[in-house]
Amino acid sequence: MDRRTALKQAALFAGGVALLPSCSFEPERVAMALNNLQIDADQQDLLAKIVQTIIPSGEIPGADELEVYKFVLVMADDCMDKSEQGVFTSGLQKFGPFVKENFDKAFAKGDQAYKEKVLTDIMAMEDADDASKPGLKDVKSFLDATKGYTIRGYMSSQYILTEKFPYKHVPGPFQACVSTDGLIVM
Amino acid sequence: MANFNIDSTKENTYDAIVIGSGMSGGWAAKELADKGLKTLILERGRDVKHNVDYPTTNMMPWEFKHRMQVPQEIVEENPIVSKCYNFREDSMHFFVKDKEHPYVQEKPFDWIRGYQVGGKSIMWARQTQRWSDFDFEGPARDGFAVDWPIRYKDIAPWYSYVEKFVGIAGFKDGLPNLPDGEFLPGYDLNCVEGYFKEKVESTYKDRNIISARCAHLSEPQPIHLEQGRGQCMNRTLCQRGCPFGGYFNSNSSTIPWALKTGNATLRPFSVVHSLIYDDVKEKVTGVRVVDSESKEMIEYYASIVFVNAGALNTNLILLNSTSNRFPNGLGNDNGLLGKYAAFHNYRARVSGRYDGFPDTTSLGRRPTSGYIPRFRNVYKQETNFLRGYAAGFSAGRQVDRNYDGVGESLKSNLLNPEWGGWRVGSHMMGETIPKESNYWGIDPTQKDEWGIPLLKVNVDYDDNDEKMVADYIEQLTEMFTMAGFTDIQSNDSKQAPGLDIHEMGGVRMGKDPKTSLLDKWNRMHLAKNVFVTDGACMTSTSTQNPSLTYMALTARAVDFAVKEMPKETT
Ligand SMILES: Cc1cc2nc3c(=O)[nH]c(=O)nc-3n(C[C@H](O)[C@H](O)[C@H](O)COP(=O)(O)OP(=O)(O)OC[C@H]3O[C@@H](n4cnc5c(N)ncnc54)[C@H](O)[C@@H]3O)c2cc1C
Ligand code: SF4
Repeated sequence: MDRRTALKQAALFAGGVALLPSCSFEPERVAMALNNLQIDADQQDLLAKIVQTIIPSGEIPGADELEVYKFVLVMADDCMDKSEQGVFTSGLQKFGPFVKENFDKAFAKGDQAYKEKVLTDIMAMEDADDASKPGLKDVKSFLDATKGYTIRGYMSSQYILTEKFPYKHVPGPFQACVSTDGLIVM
Repeated sequence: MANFNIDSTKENTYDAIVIGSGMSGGWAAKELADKGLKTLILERGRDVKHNVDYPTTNMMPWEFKHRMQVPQEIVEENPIVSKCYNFREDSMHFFVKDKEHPYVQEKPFDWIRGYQVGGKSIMWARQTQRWSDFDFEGPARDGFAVDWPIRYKDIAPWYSYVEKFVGIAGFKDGLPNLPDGEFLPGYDLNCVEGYFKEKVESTYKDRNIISARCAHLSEPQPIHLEQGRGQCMNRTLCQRGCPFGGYFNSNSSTIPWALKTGNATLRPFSVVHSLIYDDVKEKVTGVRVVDSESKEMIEYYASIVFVNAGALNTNLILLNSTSNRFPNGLGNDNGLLGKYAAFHNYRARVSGRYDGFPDTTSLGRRPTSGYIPRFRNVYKQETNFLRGYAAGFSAGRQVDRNYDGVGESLKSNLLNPEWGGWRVGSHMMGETIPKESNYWGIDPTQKDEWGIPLLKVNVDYDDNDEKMVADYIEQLTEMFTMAGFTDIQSNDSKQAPGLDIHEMGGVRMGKDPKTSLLDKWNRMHLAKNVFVTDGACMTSTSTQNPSLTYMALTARAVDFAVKEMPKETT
């Protein structure tokens, strides 16, 4: 149960039904409970789509199956300083309009190839173009941070560290100098 | 009423009191209890029971919410302790947060602390190199501080004694400047470290690369099994506390050992305020403790007191132990208490790459690294600065991951890394010269929440340190170049003193009560039943990680206190 559901239930138990805004009876669609960032459900969905684009699904699960967007949000929420958080949220807010303005169609409306192109193109733009492309700086910073956390969250996920590059708590004896022949690089 | 007082006095009376349960206090407690003395261990922090209180020790990487990074809010609240490389998500609960015990920095000093049973022995890096006479004779030869009242031969048997119990992995390297000890099997140098060793040792007469000796049970002996400790499994997650007891900390070793004798009592949450000096009896009769939970002040009595609160807190306690006889702090007639403070200079690093050995790597993890014993000014003065530095040295095979782009190509790159080259790196560990102007003192007005004056720190680098940093960078760069390493980078972090976590001095040993506070047995010249055997006692600092020496001095001092002192006074 997330924090909001809990609050809602607490309010109901307290007979506080009247306090709840009527819209809360719509189907449950709330964002993750965060401490610092103000992110709504739509923005969270958009972030998840960006994260999925960065590491897509396939034979090996991608960021979607491993819910990496949650890690990205946790890190942005807990490990960025206030000004970085400001840029992150602002970049996330501006991302949708920025894509509509500078590309053919909305991010979500495209296929994986389109989405990849959008991200790659934005990340390749020069900060100096911010004047002609308002919002670019924030959007770029947001994407860079998101990419960094996505890679980190993915590579340190339980799946990757058990199935792909098994992390051994007890790695066995230390072998100081061995041949790399036939060794899996990890 | 009178009877009640007598009863409570009796109840609070022990043969010996040990202040602090860290690296050195643990040893004092073990030795005193082993010798049959009823011993009270006073520890300001909470209890940390071996294995029971290591909450993160078995957590997998993905179980850490922030994958080991310390959240920003905690970093901002703790600008000092956050600088410590080991203050991470898995071990930050063992470090004192900045607000928990403030102190006055007259000059910047990063005071890194662990207030709990085990002290900093839980989080230490377990490096244990002996001193030699090149270290003990330093002040006398080079004319600084005062002459050490002991020499290597005085402490050598105690190094052996401690090493056997602690368990030290290492090789007998046969170096006069870094004497061999009682070693369990060592951890080999990897291919590139071994290559560097060969190159350096064949090029320079007095320079060596060795595998650093470390407090790990590479092959546990019966004495270790008896402590309930076992084989080190090379997890290198030691800072979390080790479920195997594979490395030495007080929690897995000395403290439970002391308690098992039935002679020791451990009292956590006991902040020692001061020692009680009885003007009539002309000796210390006990200590005043503030219970950190109830804030109540309680007195405990004993005929011997070991002060092992960690160098700075030991200075603080002694400075705060005022009486008619000692208005300026216990045993402080000469006014030197708190002065001649020193530390280790860890400012500089040199790193590079090596293209050799492309077909080799090492496998598994190793709880130590390479070590370069001091080679500067060892046999004679040869540079324009006094003393010298040791250095850490390690090499590691890199894995190259291509982080370009997004989408399938990125994913595929991440999942199919390739071997990169070898990276090599070194950090300096410089001796600093104790000076009267470097001191720890007490603030005249501000007090902490336990009613104890705030510690005041006034310690700085000097010109000698600057020259040493420059020389380290120059010499290591030369050695790296000679070995064919490329892309050599050097860096001077200019970090404040303290971050080395090797603070020493203030209650130095010496031959003469006029110029020192402690005698050759670590006993206060002017309060003969008080012993100081943590970093505070150090006359000079040498370059070696100091804890092994604190432990050896402690065991030696207890032996004297129990065996020799009674003879001396009768
Ligand atoms: C990350 C890290 C890496 C390190 N690496 C190494 C290394 O590789 N090799 C090495 O030799 N050293 C290393 N050290 C340093 C080593 O930990 C210390 O030298 C050693 O712990 C000092 O022992 P001590 O007994 O003096 O103090 P501590 O171990 O700090 O113990 C002092 C105890 O006294 C208690 N105390 C303090 N004040 C009071 C009071 N007023 N009343 C009651 N109790 C009090 C404290 O709570 C603490 O438990 C490292 C330290 C850290 C943090
Ligand atoms: S390296 Fe050894 S001592 Fe350290 S945690 Fe692992 S098993 Fe324990």
